[in-house]
Amino acid sequence: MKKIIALALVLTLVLTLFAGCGKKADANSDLKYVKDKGTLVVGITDFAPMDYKDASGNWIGFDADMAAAFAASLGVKVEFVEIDWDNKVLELDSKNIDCVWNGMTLTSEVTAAMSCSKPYCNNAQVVIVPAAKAADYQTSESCADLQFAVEAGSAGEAEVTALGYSCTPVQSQAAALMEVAAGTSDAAVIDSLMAAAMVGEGTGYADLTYTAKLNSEEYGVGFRTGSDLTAALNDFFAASYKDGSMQACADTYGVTAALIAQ
Amino acid sequence: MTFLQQLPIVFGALNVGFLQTLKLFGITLVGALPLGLIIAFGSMSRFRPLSIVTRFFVWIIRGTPLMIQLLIIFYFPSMALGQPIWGSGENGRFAASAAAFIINYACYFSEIYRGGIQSIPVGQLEAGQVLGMTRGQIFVRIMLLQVIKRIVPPVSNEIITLVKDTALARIIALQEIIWAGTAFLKGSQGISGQVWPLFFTALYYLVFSGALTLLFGWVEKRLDYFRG
Amino acid sequence: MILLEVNNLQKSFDGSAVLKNISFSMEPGQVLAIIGSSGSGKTTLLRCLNFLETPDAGEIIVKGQKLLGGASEEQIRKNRLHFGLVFQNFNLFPQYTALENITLAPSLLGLGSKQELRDNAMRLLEQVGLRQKADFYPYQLSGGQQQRIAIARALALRPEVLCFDEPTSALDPELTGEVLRVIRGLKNKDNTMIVVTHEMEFARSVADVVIYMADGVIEEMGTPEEVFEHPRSEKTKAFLRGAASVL
Repeated sequence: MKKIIALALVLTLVLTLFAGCGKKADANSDLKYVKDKGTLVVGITDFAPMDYKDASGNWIGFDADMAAAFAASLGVKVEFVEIDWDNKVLELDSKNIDCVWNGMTLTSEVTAAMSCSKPYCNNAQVVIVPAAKAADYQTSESCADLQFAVEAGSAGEAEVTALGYSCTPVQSQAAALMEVAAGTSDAAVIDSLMAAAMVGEGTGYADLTYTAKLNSEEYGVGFRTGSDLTAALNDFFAASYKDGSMQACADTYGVTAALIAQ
Repeated sequence: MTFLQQLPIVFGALNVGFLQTLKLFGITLVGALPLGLIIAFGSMSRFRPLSIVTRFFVWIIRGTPLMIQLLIIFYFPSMALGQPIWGSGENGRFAASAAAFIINYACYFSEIYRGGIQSIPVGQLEAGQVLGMTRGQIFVRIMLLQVIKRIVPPVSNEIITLVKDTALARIIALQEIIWAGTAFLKGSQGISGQVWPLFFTALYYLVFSGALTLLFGWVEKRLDYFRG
Repeated sequence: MILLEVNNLQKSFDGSAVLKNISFSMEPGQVLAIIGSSGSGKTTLLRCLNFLETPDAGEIIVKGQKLLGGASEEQIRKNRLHFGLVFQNFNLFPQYTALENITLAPSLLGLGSKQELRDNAMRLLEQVGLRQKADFYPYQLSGGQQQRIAIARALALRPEVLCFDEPTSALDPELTGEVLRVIRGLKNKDNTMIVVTHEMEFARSVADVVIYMADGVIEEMGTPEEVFEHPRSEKTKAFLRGAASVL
């Protein structure tokens, strides 16, 4: 018996290495699977203004409210689960969550590993510098000599690397902000929606501000590859844009300017 | 938000996280201390296949990072079966973390037990035998306390390591105290970019491991009445 | 009357014979001293009698009852109770006091009430001259005192034959006397004993029968006078000359 366990463990180790490659389309309908169990499990991180907790501990935000509405349209309950962002594909494939709905930038890596909805929000990678020095770094060219901190594997890292600027990859976008605040890096590159919520007056980083826009990109929702939930969500987005409920929700969380017409 | 307004929010979240840390710590000890003894007996078994397989298993577990074991235990069975096996939400993550920690620590404990048992002079066993004691009596009445005395220092070392290792469970998003601390760095409950809550978690660990150190010191003192 | 009879006992380790056809018998109250150089098999013989080793062949008969044979674990445990063994290294249990070392086995075997066992243990402590050390832990006692406690511990089970495996070898020379005095005292109380020893003078003065073992066989057996004064075998003579020159 123990030998079998040991063998299983070795196999598991090997298989996990390949798990990232072996994507299998679900034989059965994902929509049916979610309806049968009666719950849509939404993988999120704490990320204002998309997904965050209100004073009584309930998940709110533009993404959270839309996810709740989508679940209601399917006739199932919504359940939010905080995940480690690095493991989002594992979480999907192991069915611990049914979708990733958390201001996820639609990069080529993301669209390859998941079935993604149509984009619903515009985003950009922006340069974060101390407010006192902001005047000198308004364009991407003027930032050439700065030492950047970027989230490893992020769209920001890709942009900075493409420009040929020197950068330090760190654990998260928040950690990149910390680098600038602590002075260990000159600048950081993060999502503009996050920047709007996290830097500037009235935030934890009042001394920082954002300047140059390095690119523009879009947010989407990710499902398991081959999932028919993607089409269901696209239909839902179109309907709620048409009846104005999506715009109303965006207004609530101050992301109207970034909303993409469905 | 002023610092004084942030304090109750941060402490509330850290306390919730620390409770999860304590739960994982406690259940790991409750499971791993006895399971370690079973594994130790397996690895010392005179039935060769059993001892070989057990030692192989211990080698695998001790030879791979706990972080990888957590990922495998939580994600792999569900991927293989196409069905989440650990239950939904925080409870499922806790169950998977507990399983991984119990298995991992049981293997470490088993090696400490084995070393402790094998370090007792064979004369103690033989003295019990010639006095007509059964194997069970010899283990319980003669060996056990001597073994415990010898293994208290290494076991307490391992237990204090466990306190801090519980933080690894955040890899499968178990919301223990480090997770709770980093949340305020990323932004949570209206507080963002604050690193002090994360640094503050160290204080929780420090106080808790301090209490454990005192406890183990007391146990060692209690066993000081004999030598050998 | 024969108390103990050993017939054709054989034992080998990894193909090399350590005991070859050992046979002897003992009457109640007799003291048998076994001498011989190290590696001659005398310790293995004692361990076979106490079932710490399983003989390859031969019989051990106590009071006409054959002990070898259907050796389940339970049977071996019962067989052992006919014999007591005092080890070279005492092997007292360090976590128990002198008194507890003595009462532990009898209480596990249910040989009497707590008070009876305690009284008996105190009598035995008296007998080995350590009544005042009853509540001392082994590490608080000298080697000689520990060995005397070990003797009391073995006596507590009232074995039919009490065996000593070089009881003074691990002791400093000045401590051997107290242990030998205790063993001599036991002889006066008609205990049947087998003593493996290097103490020739002690063997000569206390033993009724002396066995000289060499290379796994009984080379010489007889009264102390026969073995020490008129040895027949050349090997015995050589051994005794060697032992004498050491002294």
